[in-house]
Amino acid sequence: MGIIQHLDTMAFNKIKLPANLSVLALFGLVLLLLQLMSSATQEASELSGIYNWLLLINIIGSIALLALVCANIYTLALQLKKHEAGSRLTIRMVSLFVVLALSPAAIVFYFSMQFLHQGIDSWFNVEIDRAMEDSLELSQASLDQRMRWHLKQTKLAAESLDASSEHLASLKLENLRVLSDASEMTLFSRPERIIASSSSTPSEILPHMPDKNAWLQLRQNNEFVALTPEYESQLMIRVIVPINSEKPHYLQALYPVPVRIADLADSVEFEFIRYQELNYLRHSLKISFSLALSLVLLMSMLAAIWVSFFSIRNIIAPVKALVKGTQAVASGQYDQQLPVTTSHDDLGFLVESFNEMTLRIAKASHESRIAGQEVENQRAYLETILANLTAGVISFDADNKIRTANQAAHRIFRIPVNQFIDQTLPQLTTRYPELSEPLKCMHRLMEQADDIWQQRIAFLGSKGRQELLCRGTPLFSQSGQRVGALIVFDDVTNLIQAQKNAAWGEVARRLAHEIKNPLTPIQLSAERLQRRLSGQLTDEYADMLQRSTKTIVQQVEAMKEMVDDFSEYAKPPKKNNVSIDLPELIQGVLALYALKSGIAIHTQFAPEPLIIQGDPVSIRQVLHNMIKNALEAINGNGNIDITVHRLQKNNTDFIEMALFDDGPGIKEEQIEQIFEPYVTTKAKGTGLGLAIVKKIVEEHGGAIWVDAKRRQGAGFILQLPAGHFTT
Amino acid sequence: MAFTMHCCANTKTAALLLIGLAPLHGSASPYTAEISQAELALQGQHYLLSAQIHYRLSDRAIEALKNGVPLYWTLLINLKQHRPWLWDKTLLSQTHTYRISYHALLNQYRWVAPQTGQSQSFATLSAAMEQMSNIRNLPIIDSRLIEPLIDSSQSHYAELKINFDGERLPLPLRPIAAIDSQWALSSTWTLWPLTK
Repeated sequence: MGIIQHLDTMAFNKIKLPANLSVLALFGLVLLLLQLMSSATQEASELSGIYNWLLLINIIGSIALLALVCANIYTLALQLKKHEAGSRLTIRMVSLFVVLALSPAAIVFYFSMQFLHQGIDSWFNVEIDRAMEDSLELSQASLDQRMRWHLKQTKLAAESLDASSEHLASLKLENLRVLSDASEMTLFSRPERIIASSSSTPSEILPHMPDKNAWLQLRQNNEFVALTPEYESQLMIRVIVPINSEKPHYLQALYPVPVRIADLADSVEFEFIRYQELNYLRHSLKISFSLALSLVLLMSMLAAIWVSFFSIRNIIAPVKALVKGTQAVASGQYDQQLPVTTSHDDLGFLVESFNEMTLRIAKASHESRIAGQEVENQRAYLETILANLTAGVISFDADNKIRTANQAAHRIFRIPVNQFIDQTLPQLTTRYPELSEPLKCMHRLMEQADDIWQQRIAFLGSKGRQELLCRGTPLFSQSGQRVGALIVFDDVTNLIQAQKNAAWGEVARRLAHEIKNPLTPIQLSAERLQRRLSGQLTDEYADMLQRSTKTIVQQVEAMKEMVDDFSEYAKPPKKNNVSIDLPELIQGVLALYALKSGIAIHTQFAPEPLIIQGDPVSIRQVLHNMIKNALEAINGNGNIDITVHRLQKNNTDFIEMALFDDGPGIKEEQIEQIFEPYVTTKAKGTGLGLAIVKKIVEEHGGAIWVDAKRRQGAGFILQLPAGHFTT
Repeated sequence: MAFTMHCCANTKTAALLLIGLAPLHGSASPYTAEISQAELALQGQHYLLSAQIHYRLSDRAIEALKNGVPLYWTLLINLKQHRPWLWDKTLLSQTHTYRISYHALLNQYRWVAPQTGQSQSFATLSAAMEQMSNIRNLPIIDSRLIEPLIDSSQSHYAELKINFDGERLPLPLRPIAAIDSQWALSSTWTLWPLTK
């Protein structure tokens, strides 16, 4: 018991006192219950009346503690299964504690049980048994002898009453009683029938009546002698003997046992009974003490184990928090702050250090996040700039795969940006065959170049003829290794067109100004010459003058016409943008040409709506020029075929008009320049017809080219973006 | 006027003790005493109880008795008024304690009623038990005290039980007595209605 208490106090020492008043209370309660039970075990204790209840309460308490411990073990097992932080350490500490606490307690328990059993057994032995029985027998023998003596005395008295009449007998009775030292003498004729009675205490009127058993025994043995405890502490010897007379009479005599003898006998009996009882209860006593001892051990142990759980959990708590905090930090949550314990032990120091560490990590992480954000903002800013550049920018990695491409690249090529990424230019070429020309060109230039390059690339794109100004550079790392390339390209179609137009406009304006001005005076002078000299010259000269003047006037007219054409070419486009039904317009234009025999014009229009968007006057001019050109080419005898249909190119709808004639055709070397001003195959003409056509077509976002594949006659292909059909 | 018993045996098990302490044996024990007859009769001014109780002492009880352990019984008698919605009202509750012990010196069994101071010695145990079995004209209460309490519109009944007092056994025996059927010597309650 002492050791158990010592262990309990050991358990207490580990607990921080203010936080664990409930534990203190529990221990107090356990100790109180055990103390009560221990007191109740004393027979004389007032508590012995509630012994069973105390036992029950202690058993219930033990069961409750056991349940508590089991619940704790179960929780711990669950935590261990979940690999919760600190569970292994808790198990180790609890097992250590249990082993440390249990082993000395078990040893003490074992020896206590041994001593208890041996101690109880040592109370009893054969000698004492014998002595007890002997002393009882001695008392009984002594009393027996006394009884026999009194029986003899009574018999003598009865003999003296023989043959006495009832009346005489009653007279003799008093005398006999005094002689024989009896306290009372009674004469009965039969049970309950008193003839006479004499008593030493005159106050007792009624004699002490024998009971049924006495009469029964008397009838059997013809005498009765017995010790009867007449009062609580007084022993009497009752003797009944028959009296020989004609009627059956009985004499009862009561002899008091001397007080001293009675006390001694009583004492012997008391001790004997007590010893007997103890001997009888020996087994129960052992069980009872063992039960009490076991309960004490069980309760203290269970309470200690529970408190060990409790206190170890307290000790482990900061470790657990540290492990959880470390795991959280490992998973990237840097804002971990553990509750700081007030104790300034190693664990407290560890917790403080952890908190400081997480603070620093959180600060560093915050700073790096801000820096990252800054970089990201910069990158986004650059990307925005790049995206909003009018020039397309494509960067390549070392394997010539596209790494980035901006919005302008998409705008120019009409390919979604995400389809650029991780593709090489040849791969894009196979997916977008209409862009094969510029892409191949770029690829070739990029592969070949080892310095900055620049190239103009013209191709027929979605918006018709497009011209790109490409600049490229290979990218080198600091170690001089080629790590990629960069291509910047700009759609300069409009710019070049504008430049050309401006140049030609300037030429035309100057021509008109410089040439047209002297033409009128030349014409007027020639007409004046003819008017003045026509009458004064001979017929021969007059005729010559008239012819020359006529020639001059005609040539001046022709020159004027030519200059007008120039100014027409140089005029800035005045577009009236409406929907035009191309077949209808072609038919209208053809109607103006009164065809000679030998010329056949075939038209073939696709059934779908063939609408373009543009200026009707300009388009009519285009058709005029082209038909006129064809008619002049076949020179009054031949066929002209006009076909119009719709086609799709680079996700855009185009209306294509093909015009073929079976004239002499165009020489190959002229094909390149045929649309330049002043290029003509004819003897007559300004050479501006097709230039104007090309200018108008390009102004409408279309393209025109010579169908070089055609071997007989000339063929022109004209493509204009399809317009929306409006009624 | 007399209250007589019309029905005798049947019983209500009065096991309202805590689980665990309640004797596990209950009425199933072969050693329970049995009240075979009970009667409450008015004689003069007093109600007198007469009853016939049959005791069945177990071997263990006899052995304890012979080894000097005194055994105590308590006779419990209640007069109750039936109430439909509440627990029954107790008009009277009396206990009479008896003790039987063995006197080694005289080789006798002694019956004592400590409340009244009556005592008697018997040569045999059965004779002593016989004394306890027959209860004759035990005065219970003065009729003048009880009659004002009786509401004639309600039904009344008497209940009787002989209870073996295990709590008066020596300490080491008590836990065993609480769970051992050999010590389940008490009778169950016997109820009988009281009629005028």
